[in-house]
Amino acid sequence: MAKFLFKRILSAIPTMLIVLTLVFILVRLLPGSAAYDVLGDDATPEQIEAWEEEQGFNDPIYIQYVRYLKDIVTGNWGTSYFNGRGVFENMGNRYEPTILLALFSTVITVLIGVPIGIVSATHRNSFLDYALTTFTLLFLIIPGFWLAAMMVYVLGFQLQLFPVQGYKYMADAGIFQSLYHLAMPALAMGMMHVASTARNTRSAMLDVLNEDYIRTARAKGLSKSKVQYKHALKNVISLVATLIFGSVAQMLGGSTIMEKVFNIEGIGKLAYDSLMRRDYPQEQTIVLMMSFIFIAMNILLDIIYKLVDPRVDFGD
Amino acid sequence: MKKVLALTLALVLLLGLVACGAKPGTTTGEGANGADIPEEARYGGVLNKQYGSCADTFDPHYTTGWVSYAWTNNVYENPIARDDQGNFVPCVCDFELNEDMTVLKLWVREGVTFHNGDPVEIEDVVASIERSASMVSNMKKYWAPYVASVTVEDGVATYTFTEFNINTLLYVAHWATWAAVLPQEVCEKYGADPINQLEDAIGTGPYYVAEYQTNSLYRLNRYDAYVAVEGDWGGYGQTKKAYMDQINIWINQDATSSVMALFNGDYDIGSLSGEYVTMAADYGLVGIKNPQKNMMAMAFNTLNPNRPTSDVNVRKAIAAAIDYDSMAQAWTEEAYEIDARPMMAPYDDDVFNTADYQGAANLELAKEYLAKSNYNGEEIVLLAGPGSGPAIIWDANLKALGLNVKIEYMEGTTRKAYYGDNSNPYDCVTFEYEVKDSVPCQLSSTPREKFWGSELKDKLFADMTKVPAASEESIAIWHELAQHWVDDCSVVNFATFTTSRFHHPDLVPNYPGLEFDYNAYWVNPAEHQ
Repeated sequence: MAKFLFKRILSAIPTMLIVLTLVFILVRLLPGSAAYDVLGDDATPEQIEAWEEEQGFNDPIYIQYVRYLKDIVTGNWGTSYFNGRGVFENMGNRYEPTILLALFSTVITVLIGVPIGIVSATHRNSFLDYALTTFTLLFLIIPGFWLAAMMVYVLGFQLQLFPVQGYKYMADAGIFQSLYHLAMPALAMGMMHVASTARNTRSAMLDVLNEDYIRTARAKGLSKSKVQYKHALKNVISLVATLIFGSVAQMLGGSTIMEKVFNIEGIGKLAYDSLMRRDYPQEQTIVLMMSFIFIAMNILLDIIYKLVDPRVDFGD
Repeated sequence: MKKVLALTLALVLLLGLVACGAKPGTTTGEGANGADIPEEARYGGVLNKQYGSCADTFDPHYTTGWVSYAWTNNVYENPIARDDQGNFVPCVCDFELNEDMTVLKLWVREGVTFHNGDPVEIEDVVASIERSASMVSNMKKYWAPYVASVTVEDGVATYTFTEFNINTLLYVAHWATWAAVLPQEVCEKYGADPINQLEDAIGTGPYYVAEYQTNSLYRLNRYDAYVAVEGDWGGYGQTKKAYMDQINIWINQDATSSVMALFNGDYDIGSLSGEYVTMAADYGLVGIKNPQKNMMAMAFNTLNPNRPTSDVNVRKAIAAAIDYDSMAQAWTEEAYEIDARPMMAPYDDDVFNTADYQGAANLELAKEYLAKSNYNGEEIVLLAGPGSGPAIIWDANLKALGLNVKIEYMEGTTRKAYYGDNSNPYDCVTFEYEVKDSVPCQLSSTPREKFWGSELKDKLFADMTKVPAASEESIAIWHELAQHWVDDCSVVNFATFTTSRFHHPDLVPNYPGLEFDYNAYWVNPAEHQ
């Protein structure tokens, strides 16, 4: 396992280097200049030129790239053009709502998607199967931002069940208030992933139900429910667990829309704002950090998969 | 199973009916008449305000690009200010100006303190102005080069200017707190770096920053030791009274959730647009008529001699072909007024509204101008934002005239960079600009110089800087400039936005050209804690 882990981490280094390079290129491909936002509409061409010179944008691209890599390696990730604070200082406590939202929506996805998948599989081709599949597909095709806006209006404003916007930090208001403010965005985000979770669970369940040992169990006289929920289910859960772990990573990336609609000051919203403001240092840092988190989670996912099913061979 | 499904369906329908029908309590939507509320009864209460954006800094000298005067003019003050007639009035300092306005003496008003309790010294004022002049682009341009000398003696700072330029004084007295007075030690601690720690957000205003949440909330509490300037003038330099105990400035960019929060009562003042405006009265909200000007405009690229719009007759043909009302309707869902005047009183010269190309589409006039021009069927290019409604109107109106037109869609920051270089191949660009209590020579550079090349225009704007604001000479120069603006047709003003901010009916707001929070109060403060 240690050898496997070491190899996995080592193989992640070239991936990270590619990510670093791609982020560098993509950010600089953005048209327009941050100078207009930093200096204001009344800035003269000379002031803009001076600012761009000061930021090093007039240097040859390879020099900018070397400087960029050197800064990353030495821990000098820069300061935000927007507020002059360090990029990590800006990200500071924004992790809390983003991670909490990702976890909360994953729980909702699991609590709704997995049972739907299991019931669909055990009642295959029945009216119930079709109805549940239709229900989940509905949330696949409804745009997330529309669903979020409708929830704000109906659940938040008309029915006054939840706050219409904002977030309260755990340190200030306690975990219950934090979760209460995240309930609607978590529900909206979770429902968007229910379809894929249900379908994956259904497929996994059907595969297991077609196995020989299941047929043998039925032949031995065990009841249908005992076969399904005692013997088949435990073989499905381990597979589904790994899929769910992967969906947490998706939730982290997909939080931007929800954070914007519900006015939650998380990493996703900061990424969006930084992009619109051409706040390159901030945007680069967020993209890099999220990429590193995804790479780390993929490594972790491989480890979990191997622990859950030691038969799995990654060809190491 | 059928019963379960039927019950579920019934529950969903019921929920939907309840959701669509339920509304919070309503009032008449008429504003509070707080004029007869006694002075002592006005104190108290909490005000919750919403803004879509705000610069994320505590530094009044740093808020040049990302406007954040939403809260800074409650916390920070300039050495001097202006009243509603444009006259200079005391603020942190009392002052004396010599006859030709080339010598300015400042001394701190008695009893004025910073929010940390320290008395304001003249050295703090001098250090703040110096810092501002090194950081703020307008102070760099209009203050620093004009200061011949500054001396400090017996608590009086004497600035001697190389020549009179009205902008020099206007920017040090600007409502935008660009020259705000800060403690000298804060100026020295940060230098040209922005103030980014809450404990260093120390001003002299009627409120101080008590709490801050990144890009989300500025919580301002009343500063009990505030010493207001005494005077009966209006404008942003008016005597400031902190009636509210607390003001919360909430930053919420999302239109849906901010509107819902405003209707819900989470915010007491906020923005509405589109059909939400028509719903405002249902929720008891009162609209604030925006006394400032937010112009919807179109500029021609007159700085590129190779473009068809370098010909004034082509410009006038285009301006005459466009229907201004349709443009405004496509531009905004907010209320608007067809008004081409780009300034407020006393500079609201009506010559802008009398231009023959102004107003409804006039194809006959447009064709007359086109016949006089050198237009040979070249492509005319409009720069517009993604999904721009006005671009569609522009396109349709100009095709009706028979012009060869094209729209280039570009996102805002890209567009600014594109028209920052007039050699780029474009002819028209639509944009908005604000006019808040300023004089013409303070107009945003976007309509004033980014597209408009004219020696006469440059001369007249320069002449305006040499005479006092709102004086007869200043108004006369502006009239000549306005006529030239109309004749040259390089920037066309379609309309101005009107009401855009809505507030709780119990609030008596303070809106003398800008939305200020000092002097705003609740009719019944106890109900708004």
